[in-house]
Amino acid sequence: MAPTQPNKLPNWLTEPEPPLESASKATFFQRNQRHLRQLLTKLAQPTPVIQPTRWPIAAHINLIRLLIMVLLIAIINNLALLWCLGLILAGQLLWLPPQQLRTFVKSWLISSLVALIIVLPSYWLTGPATLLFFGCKTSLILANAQYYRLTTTFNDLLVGLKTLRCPDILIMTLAIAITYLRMLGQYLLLTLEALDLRTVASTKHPYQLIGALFGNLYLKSYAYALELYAAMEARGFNGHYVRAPQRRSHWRDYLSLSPDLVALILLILWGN
Amino acid sequence: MLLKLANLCYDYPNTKGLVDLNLSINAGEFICLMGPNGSGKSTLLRILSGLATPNRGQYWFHDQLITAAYLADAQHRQRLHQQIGMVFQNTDVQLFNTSVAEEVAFGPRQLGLSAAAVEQRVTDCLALTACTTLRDRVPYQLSGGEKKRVALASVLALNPDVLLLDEPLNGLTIAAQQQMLTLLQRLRAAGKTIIMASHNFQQVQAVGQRFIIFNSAHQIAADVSADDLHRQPERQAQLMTL
Repeated sequence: MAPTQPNKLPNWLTEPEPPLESASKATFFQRNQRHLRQLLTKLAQPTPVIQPTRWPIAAHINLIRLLIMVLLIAIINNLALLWCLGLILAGQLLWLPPQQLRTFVKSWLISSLVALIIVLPSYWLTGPATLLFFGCKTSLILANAQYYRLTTTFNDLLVGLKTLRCPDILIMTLAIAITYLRMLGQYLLLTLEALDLRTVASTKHPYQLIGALFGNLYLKSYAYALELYAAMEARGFNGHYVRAPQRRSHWRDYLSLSPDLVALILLILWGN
Repeated sequence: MLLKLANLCYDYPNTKGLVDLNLSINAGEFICLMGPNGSGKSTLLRILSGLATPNRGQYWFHDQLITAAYLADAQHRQRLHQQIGMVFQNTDVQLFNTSVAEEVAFGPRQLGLSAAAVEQRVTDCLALTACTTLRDRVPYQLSGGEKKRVALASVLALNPDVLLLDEPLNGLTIAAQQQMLTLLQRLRAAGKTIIMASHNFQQVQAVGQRFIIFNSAHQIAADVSADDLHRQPERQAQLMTL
């Protein structure tokens, strides 16, 4: 088919487009834009909600605290000690701003509910006491992890892992995974926005488009991976992270570990 | 009055996007948004297209106040998108179909046109943007300049009243830039409103009718017509250094 007028604008382009009568309701893609935006906001995590200026705790100490807490909760079989650990966490939560506290409670309840569903078969296998006990332990672990997520940036997490001398491959994998998730999420969001801008009526086959979108996303991620590798290589990266000068641990860092250490001592003294 | 912004402000989570914008745009104008990187040109285009809503202030389009609540209604949103088309700065994200022809046909197919009319639009748009030879190519494999042209063709196919273009000339050869500017001038002559963001004054000085210049404080520093600008060599010199 030849263009209508090779050197002039076609007639349809010079006349106003009549408005469409039957517009659709919110499309599948519009709804998903909202979810993706929320996810990206979580991934972006620009600053932690609590920023102590006078007493910043070293990133690796925060990580050690989390690990000790999780370990303690996992091995404790004493309800009183478990209660103590819950109190320690509750004390930390008091410092959260109200909005963040609401966010914490909401996501903690959802994740605890999911965990409870997973351990639910124990109700029939061993009875309600076991279910309650494991439910409490799981939700306490999730609460600690959630608190850590809220108060620590991804960068601090990586710094903590580097300071604790974790294998380079683990740090690199984590760093790239976080960067990638954010980057590809951003790309997908922009694509959905572009799609939204060109959606002027109901899309007949919205689910067919998903294939095209994710196909594009896959191709883009592959291209990004190659570019990223080339860029890292060009800047002299050989698979090993150069250790940045470490921040000297302060006595206050160790003091912040004291509640967990007290709990550990109580565990040793009282046992189970 | 086609578009009107009154005391419009937009904030990003940790930074300002736009500060106290007041602006009126009539139908058929060719407007160039100029300013340094990060001054708010793209943010303004996102607000005008309905992709973002202002934190404070008002945005009117055809005497209709555009708010988040208004855009939450899919019918309103789609009506706005039918009237306002946008070419993104990163056109990579704009092309998601399996061939260039499919990409351009995506919009018109929703308009309830016959298959022949859709085909005619695709052929016309590809010819206007010099993309006829790319018709069966996969958009992903095109060069940056080709993607820009295909993105413009896919937006034109919807026949919007307003065209928002975010740095459309970046990555194009001089000949392709000239071709695109000529096309934009023709579209303006046909009554389309064109709002184009650019930081290259040399590229757009010949075509812009009105220049809205942003400063690094995310405000409008000047709003001058092309005639006035030609009488202000010092401002022209300033724009050349953006």
